[in-house]
Amino acid sequence: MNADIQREILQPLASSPTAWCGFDAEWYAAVNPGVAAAGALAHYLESGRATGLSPNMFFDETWYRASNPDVAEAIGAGDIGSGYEHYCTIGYTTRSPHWLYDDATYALYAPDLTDQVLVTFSCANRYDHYLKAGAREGRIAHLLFQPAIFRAAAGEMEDNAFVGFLRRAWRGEAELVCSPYFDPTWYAAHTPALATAQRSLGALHHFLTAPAGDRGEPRAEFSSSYYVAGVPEAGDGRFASPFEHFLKVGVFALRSPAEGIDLAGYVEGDPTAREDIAEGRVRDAFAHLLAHRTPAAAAEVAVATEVVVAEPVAVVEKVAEQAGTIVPDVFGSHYFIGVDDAILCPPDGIVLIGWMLAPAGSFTEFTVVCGGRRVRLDPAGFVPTMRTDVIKEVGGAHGYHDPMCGFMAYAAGALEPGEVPVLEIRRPNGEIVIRNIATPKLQGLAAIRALLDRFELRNAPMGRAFDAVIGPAMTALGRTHLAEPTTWEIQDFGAVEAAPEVSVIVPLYGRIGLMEYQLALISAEGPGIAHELIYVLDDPAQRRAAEEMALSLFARFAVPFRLVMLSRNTGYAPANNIGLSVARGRQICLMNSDVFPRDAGWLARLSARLDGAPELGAVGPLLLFEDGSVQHQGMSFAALPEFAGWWFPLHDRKGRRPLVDGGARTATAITGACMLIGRETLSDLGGLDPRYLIGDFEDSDLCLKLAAKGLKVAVDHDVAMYHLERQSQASAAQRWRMNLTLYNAWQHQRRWGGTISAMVAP
Amino acid sequence: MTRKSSPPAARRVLVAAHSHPAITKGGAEFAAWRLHEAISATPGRESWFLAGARDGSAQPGSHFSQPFDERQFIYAPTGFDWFKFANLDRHYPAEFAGVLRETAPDIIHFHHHIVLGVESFLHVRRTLPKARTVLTLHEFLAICHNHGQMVKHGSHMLCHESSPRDCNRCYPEFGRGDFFLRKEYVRRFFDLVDHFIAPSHFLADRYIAWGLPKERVSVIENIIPEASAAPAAAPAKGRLRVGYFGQISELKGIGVALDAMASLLTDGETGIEFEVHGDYSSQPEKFREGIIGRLAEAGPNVRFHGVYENDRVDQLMRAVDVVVVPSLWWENSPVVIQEAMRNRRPVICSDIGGMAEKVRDGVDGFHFPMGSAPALAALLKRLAHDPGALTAIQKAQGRPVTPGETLGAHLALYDRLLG
Repeated sequence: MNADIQREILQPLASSPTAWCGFDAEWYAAVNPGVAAAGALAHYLESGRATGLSPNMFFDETWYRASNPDVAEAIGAGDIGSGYEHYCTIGYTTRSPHWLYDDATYALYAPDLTDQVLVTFSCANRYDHYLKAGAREGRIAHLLFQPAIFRAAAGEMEDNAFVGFLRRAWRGEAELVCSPYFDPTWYAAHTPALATAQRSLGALHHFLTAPAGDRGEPRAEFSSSYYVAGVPEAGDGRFASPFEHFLKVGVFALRSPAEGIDLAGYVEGDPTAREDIAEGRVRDAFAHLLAHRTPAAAAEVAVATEVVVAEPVAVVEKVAEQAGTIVPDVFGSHYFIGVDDAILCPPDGIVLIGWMLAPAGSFTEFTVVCGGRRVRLDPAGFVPTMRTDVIKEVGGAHGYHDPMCGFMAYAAGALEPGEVPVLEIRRPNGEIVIRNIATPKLQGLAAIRALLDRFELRNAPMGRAFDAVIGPAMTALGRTHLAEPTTWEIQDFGAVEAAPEVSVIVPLYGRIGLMEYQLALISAEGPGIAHELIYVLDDPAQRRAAEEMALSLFARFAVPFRLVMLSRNTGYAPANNIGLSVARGRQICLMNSDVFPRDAGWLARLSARLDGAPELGAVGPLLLFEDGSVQHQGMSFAALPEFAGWWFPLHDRKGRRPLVDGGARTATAITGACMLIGRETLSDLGGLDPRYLIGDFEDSDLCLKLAAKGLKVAVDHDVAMYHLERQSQASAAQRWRMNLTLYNAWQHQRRWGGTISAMVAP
Repeated sequence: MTRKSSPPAARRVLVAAHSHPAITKGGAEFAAWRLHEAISATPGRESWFLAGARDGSAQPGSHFSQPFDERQFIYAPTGFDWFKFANLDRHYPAEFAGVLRETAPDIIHFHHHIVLGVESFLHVRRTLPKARTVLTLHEFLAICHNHGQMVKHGSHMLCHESSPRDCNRCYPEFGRGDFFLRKEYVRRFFDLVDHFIAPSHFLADRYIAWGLPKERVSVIENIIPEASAAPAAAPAKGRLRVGYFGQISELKGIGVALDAMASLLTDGETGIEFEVHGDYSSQPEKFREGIIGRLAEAGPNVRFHGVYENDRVDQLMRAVDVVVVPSLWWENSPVVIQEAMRNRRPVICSDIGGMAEKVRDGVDGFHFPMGSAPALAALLKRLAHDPGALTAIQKAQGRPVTPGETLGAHLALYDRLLG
């Protein structure tokens, strides 16, 4: 064997990244008398390997060779050293390495384990996943081993059920029931070959590994000879045993497993049986029959089969009693649930992103459990999301076709430091299903985008979803985003006015080239009212380009201006507030980069208008589209039913021709695209509210704050300017951007909903 | 009546063009150069010439150089925005201002605003507030992003008026807001130009409709060299030699002429011959391949002579009877029309734009409906069998404006602006 491969596959199992790949010296020594742990590896290499010993308890060399004749042949021919070597290099993708693990079964009952998922969880193959997580989750990987049943019988244990079972088997401890289909006690009593078996790990091991001639029946209610007589193909060798054929095929066709047991008649005569099977509470008619027969009825059958079957019923009843016990998906059930992503909402909140395919009422409670913390989730507040990928991979095959099967849920205060969270789901029959929650990796704006890009809600359900999930999650994320410190550098071009009347603040983001047009047109007027131009670059990626452009623009137009370069992209409100902090003017003119003057003297006239009307807190110009129609002449509030009835500021007379009469007209609110306001007034209000993330609603918020102080706002129809709307923003078609606007709308609604309703009511 | 003439107000003139005729051979740079030469040759006047050089022939470290003589400046551009004619070079304003202070012109006459950039008008106003700026308009550059030709991008259909909506349809990659801003930007600097010169009324009217103030626009031809008296042509009955001179491009209508010639051949009009003089090497590959093919398979009545030196044009035109200008776009004041008229050759042209203005139908030549090969063929056939029609034209044809007249008009304008 190649030395590198040998080193890798025989590294100490405890430190191996793959749960089944490695050499377990302690175990090897424990199960092979006469071998000490220190010399275990040497023993294995010298003789153990060749004679069919296994390197660890998860790989069974003897069984692997027996189940894979081609491998046995290759070993015989000297092509390969051992079955273990074959499995590590070739077989691990499709073959089963152990008598109590069947890869095909695991694949069948865990269709959510795609290759992508395995990669995400760093699993080499499905078996690796089973050992690392699946067994603990209670997933089924073999028809005759249900981790939950074994756990119920064994009580508390440290390891997962699979490991627990194997340890007991290797230590020769009493065998426990781990499946409704196999009764170890009965098997031991009725299978003579077991007592004389060479290497025995118990009844189940014997049943699954012994040669056909030595093999017994799994339980009283099954007779191989009777079954094969009725179903001849069950004995043709395609399946490991007639019982396997029965469990995989025959039981669903309601074939009779033994004399005196009529499955078809049983199902017809017992309506609860049909319902339980349809609802997925039991896998098949045989399991149902085994679980529900009274000891008396069992005794009747027992007469026919000479055995009284009592224990299995008791075990299953025991399972039903323990409502709080962790039980997996019922064997072969029809519902699926998964959590495939999570977003951390600092400091300890979490958004779960997952999906469910289940009939209504399949789940009653959802709880996020992390360390000692338990946070209940309210399904009524879940955000539904579209998951066509789930329908394609899992749902379609099981009869689920509605792609709106995804969900997002928010749990505040759920995470305990250092602990891994899981989602605990309770079913109506008391069962509890566990799902692991992936470690959240995204932060900052990336997390915000990921959260907002997954859903599209309208109308009434929107309100609930925002109140329960999106709102609180975004508030937490937003707080963290805003808490990050921002620094800035200022570059002055030319002799900037030392004592300006007005400071014009223009944030730049994205299409910074608009500054060229804006500055060219502002420069046409000549000096005008004493003012300073403050451009705030809120786009660090374009810093170099902006500096180059600024040098060129100043050389060409000779208009002085200040360029404030922020260290990170903060958003509209924080960028303006930073501009405010360095402004020297008595008044502030907030101006978008896509607003352009039309007539000379625009700034002086707006300034005079504000000075001349003490009842006004802010004034803005009439804004026009490039074709001269109205872009903005004031805003009024409307409650939009498609957006949960929240108040939205809408532009009056947008697209219409401007009014002939001029003058200043008061409005409910005016846009921040071009707004003149006293510096002290704005500072007293705390500037623009940065909790409106990135941009939107801060102007309405400001106007409502002014109104609360008894100040009005107005549009001066004598001063017309152009606003080429949407030129400086990224495409509005992006869903996450729309949802961000809706988050800001939700905040705005919570703060001002009542005020606006009172304002608007007749 | 003589009176003591006061010294002309415009003693010093700086002529600024986007390129130098020593570097590229376009009409605008030749026109600018001839103006500079003519002013220099006028007593009491001085002239300097500034030209852009797109092949970057400046010395490192300075963008302005004087490789020819002390009266000429070459500017090597470093970045030009063709959408709004903005010169992005941040060193240009100061260096240009330096040249202005050094030459101290009374008049700065720009031919074109490309390469030098529209901000140049601002630099002039800031540096020499008393000087006056004149701009000669070539094509409809400020109006139309499609190379200033006012034909629709792609379809080549004629365009009558620009608008943000229509321009966006021609160029979807630029929004309506972009075209609006383009016009605002150009007009902001055009406001600083004291007078505009258009070589044709057609061009002037289009610009006035676009927004230039009427009182600031005059129509003055470009200077072209005078030719010696040309003998009249003597076409024989049944024969006609048709000449095509200039760039061979799609919009210049070569296809229409070739189609007409093909149909004449089919009709048996073997006496009508087509002499093609010009160059297609700067055209797009697709057109080039097409035209090579067409010329190769054209009948014996078509002869392709290739490119010609500009100083041979008189000789070549005298070897034909008529000159055809079948352009598919408006044209401004094509030099070829002036050249034909100074050689007393009737001009056959499309019935639109500057062509129709410069060539009076039935007086200076004949019109045919733009783009119609059958109409052109019928016209040529008629003329071939009616030589009297051609001689009548030669008698009635207008004289092209002499260089002296053109120069006089320019100088009168300069003096008026300063007075």
